[in-house]
Amino acid sequence: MSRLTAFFSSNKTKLLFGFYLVLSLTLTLSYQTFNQVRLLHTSGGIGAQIHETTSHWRDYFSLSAQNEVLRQENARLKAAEWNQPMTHQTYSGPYRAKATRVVRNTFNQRDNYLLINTGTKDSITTDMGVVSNLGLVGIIEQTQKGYSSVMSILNSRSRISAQVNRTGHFGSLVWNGSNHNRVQLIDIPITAELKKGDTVATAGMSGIFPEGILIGRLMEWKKSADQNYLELEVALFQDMSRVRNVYVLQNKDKISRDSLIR
Amino acid sequence: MDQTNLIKDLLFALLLVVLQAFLWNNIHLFGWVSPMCYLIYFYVHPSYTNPMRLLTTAFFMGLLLDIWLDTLALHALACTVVAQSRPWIMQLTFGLAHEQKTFRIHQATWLQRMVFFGLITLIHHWVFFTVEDLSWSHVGAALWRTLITGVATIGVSMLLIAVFKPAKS
Repeated sequence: MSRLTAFFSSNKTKLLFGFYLVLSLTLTLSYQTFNQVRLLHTSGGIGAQIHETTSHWRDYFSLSAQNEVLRQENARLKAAEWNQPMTHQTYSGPYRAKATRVVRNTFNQRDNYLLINTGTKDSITTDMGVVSNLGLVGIIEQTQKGYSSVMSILNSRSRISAQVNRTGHFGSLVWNGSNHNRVQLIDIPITAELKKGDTVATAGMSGIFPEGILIGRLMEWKKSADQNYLELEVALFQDMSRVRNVYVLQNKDKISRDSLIR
Repeated sequence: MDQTNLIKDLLFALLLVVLQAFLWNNIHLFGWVSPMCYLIYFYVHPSYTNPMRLLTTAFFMGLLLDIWLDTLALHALACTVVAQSRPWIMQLTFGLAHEQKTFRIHQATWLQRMVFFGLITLIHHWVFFTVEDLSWSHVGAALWRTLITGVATIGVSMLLIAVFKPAKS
């Protein structure tokens, strides 16, 4: 017993270090392994409210009220625009746009998220698309009463179907984590005749986004590791470090559409 | 460390956490690099204090930042590693001089102080970005982010240290 006490006494610093190390690694890896959403876990409730308060200060005080009126109007216009009949995509349902504000935004981590100040009380649910007036932003991943977390397109787990507008070739939009102004469009057939400057937009395959929401401009491309596909480097239209006002897209036909796909 | 110094130390740690959350984290050099200047805590912390106290303060300082910045427990992890390796870094940088109770960091040469803070920063950033990426395919990206953010942290922090250095007695 005395030897055990002596062991603990002489190694107490190392043991404490081990304890903190295991604790912090467990906290980190459990979130990463189970793909849990960080923003609402750690910043929900009071944290989200503090984020919102600090965000308000950035919004030039009283200008936010005027912004809100304009954004609501813009939301109606956007909804009308996106609900135009599709010529060759019959599955795109009618979309509604809900204007909302980003109260927290990360863009320089490996897995980035945004926090918006609308939630279940505004009928926001998971898997709804989020866009800005300049392009794609992300997908709702978790909701609370007044807040929702959005998985940014700058996230290692984000995969969104997108297409090159001019050629119609589509693939998956991913992010390699190196530059927050660039994303990658992968799985494009090697036969695609691309031109630098081609615009890339959503393909509308999932029903989360309608077809044609702009994402960015094609900068360069290379063959994939297996030489069968092309990997496209796309410069984003939306500067993800400056996202403030966004729209949540609600597709009221998504549930019935998804049931048909299954 | 007596009671008054302990409170001062904790308040200083808290001040650095607040500054990191509200000020330094809103600086985006080259569009994305935010310096982690709260590491100044490990620079100015006296060398003769109880290592368990430093470990505990470092862990909770990191955890507070993690809660605010949505970074899982990455800051807590990196701070714990830095706190544990700090005596070794001091030994490497200052030799036996740091074990004397009269040792003060600002009395060391400019080069020694740079190396000391540089090692603290690089160890912290390397742990932070490697665990954040946690993939062999992203080792290069983690090293790149360690290097770029490290340069920003060292640059801004050394500037702050130079501005707020204690008056020579």
